[in-house]
Amino acid sequence: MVLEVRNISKVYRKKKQKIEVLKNVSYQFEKGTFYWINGKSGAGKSTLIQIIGLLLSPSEGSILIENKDVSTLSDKEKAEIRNQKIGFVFQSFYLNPLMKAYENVMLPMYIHSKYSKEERKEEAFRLLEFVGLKDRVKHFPKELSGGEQQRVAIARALANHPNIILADEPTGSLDPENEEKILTFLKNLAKEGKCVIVVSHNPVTKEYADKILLMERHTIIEEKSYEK
Amino acid sequence: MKNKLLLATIYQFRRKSNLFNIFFIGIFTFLAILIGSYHSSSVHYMKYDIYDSFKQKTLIVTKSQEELEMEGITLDDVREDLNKLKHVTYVARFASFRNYLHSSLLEKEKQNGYVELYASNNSILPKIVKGISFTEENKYTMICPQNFFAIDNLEDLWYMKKKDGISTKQLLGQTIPFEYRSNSGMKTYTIELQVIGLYKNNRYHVDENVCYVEESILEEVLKNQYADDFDDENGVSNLVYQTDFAVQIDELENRSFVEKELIDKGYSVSPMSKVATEYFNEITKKMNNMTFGILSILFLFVLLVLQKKYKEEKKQYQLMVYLGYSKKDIRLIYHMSNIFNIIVSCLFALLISLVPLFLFYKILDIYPFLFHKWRLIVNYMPVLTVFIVSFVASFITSIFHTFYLFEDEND
Ligand SMILES: Nc1ncnc2c1ncn2[C@@H]1O[C@H](COP(=O)(O)OP(=O)(O)O)[C@@H](O)[C@H]1O
Ligand SMILES: [Mg+2]
Repeated sequence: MVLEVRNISKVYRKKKQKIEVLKNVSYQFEKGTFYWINGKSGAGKSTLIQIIGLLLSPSEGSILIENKDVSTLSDKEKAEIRNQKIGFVFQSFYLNPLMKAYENVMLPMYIHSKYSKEERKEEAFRLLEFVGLKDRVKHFPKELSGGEQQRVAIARALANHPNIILADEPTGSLDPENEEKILTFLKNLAKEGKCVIVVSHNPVTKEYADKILLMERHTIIEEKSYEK
Repeated sequence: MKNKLLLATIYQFRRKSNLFNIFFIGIFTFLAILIGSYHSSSVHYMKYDIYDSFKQKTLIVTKSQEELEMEGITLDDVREDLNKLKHVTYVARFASFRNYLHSSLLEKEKQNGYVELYASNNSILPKIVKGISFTEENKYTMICPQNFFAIDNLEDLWYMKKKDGISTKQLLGQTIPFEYRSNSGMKTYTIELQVIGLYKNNRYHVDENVCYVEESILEEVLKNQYADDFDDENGVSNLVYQTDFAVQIDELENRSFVEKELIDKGYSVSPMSKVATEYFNEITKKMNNMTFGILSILFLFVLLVLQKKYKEEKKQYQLMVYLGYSKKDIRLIYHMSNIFNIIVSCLFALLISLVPLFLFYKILDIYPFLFHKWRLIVNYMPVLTVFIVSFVASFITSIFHTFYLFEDEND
């Protein structure tokens, strides 16, 4: 098992108000599987994915990556896990506008990385070729279309060969054609053995998903109990 | 570390607003260098000019009439004696407070028309900036200061601007009629002196009312002043009792040596002038305040620029958190990128400061007399100050934001 959340709760405190977003969430994620987390807006999907990505600490509960409890690690150790074992893809692509495509892809490789300078560049070029942007490597983000930018982001998420890919609304701002391309890439990654978790309220995702999870009443309900 | 340095610096130039920041901080640093250098040079110059003015280097030396009689020597013997002393460049008869002459031609709104006459000769005259020095043909000539104020009290200069002074353009070549009275007040004399040269001076309250004449002219004036001033008992002119000499010394540092020699020889000695330190201190203080002011503005400016820079880059730092950079890494990258900016700004400032330096040296080559005592002392201290200030500003900015890139109330 590559990833497990155990009894996760999350409470946001805004001034004196308490907002309970997640309540006792437990789930085990497997390798080689495409998960689609579905749910209404405000259900806590982004919160869950940020907790899984070690960007937020849960109020209660623990996260296990490769059977190791990582929720108690220091900021530095969590950062290293993010860098080595997790790849992120977002709705707004989040590319550095000052860096060319391949430089953006290289960004996670500068730390904790076994790459030399040349290897870094080679790997970035290879990854961009993999997402079909061979002739766009030296373009700046603003010179790329939305779909191309998202593919750069996917290449960047793969930079250090992580086993877990987290995507929050990855097709949220794309047209259907690019949507299909992105989801196909993610699907192929799952086929290669990675654990791909996609948060989306886009029903098309269903066609690609191996497992469908629904977030409701502050927790995860599996596909079996998902009534449509 | 090397990678982080690379990341912090390599993309800074691609941010256009950064070039803007670098440019502005650079200009400010440049200004600070200019002011700092002007400060240092001026302090040096003033020190040199005030402390080393002819009045500082001149001693009033006297042996009383009785002593002369007892020793059986004349004033000429004294003059010879003084001239023989080491480090003495010039000896002339002197009568303090008797050398003020008045000309109504020099009266102006804020000036009462008095000039102070000193004896001099061509070998010890200050640098002549216009006209000529003393000649054989005409003895009735004088050499006036470039910054000329016809007043009998130099302290009045505190309240005057340069334009309140005598316009030296029209002055050169003019013959000025002076009048003065005998000591008893009974007789009025006139003497006409042609301005043949202007010597270099500055507004340091030292010599702005001093004109130089040949010693024979000053002696004529003194003789007339004492002509009807008789000692009734002995029936001789009081001028006889006037036994002061002005003794000019080559370098200021030799003054105490000469002073000691003279005292050992039985002369009474007093320096012609004590340094006008108040003025000097005042200027230095003003300069310090100005430099401090510029640096304070710079500090605020750097703080503002870094603040703005942080806001622009915040999203990228957030992204770095996602990609596995720790907060410590990011803070380091942030500081390094700031320092990189500042270094480039400082280099830029140093580079553009070369232009005025180059020009200054060029001018110095062509018109050395303009700055004959002026030594340029380039002060690069402000660059260091800017660097330290920026470092502190970067630190304050990072503390201020404490890098809460992700609001996490549980932390
Ligand atoms: N930093 C925060 N502080 C307080 N409340 C938050 C914060 N982030 C999210 N929330 C709240 O938590 C709930 C879940 O948000 P989110 O996880 O973004 O849901 P989703 O992604 O499913 O739309 C929302 O009601 C939102 O207002
Ligand atoms: Mg969301």
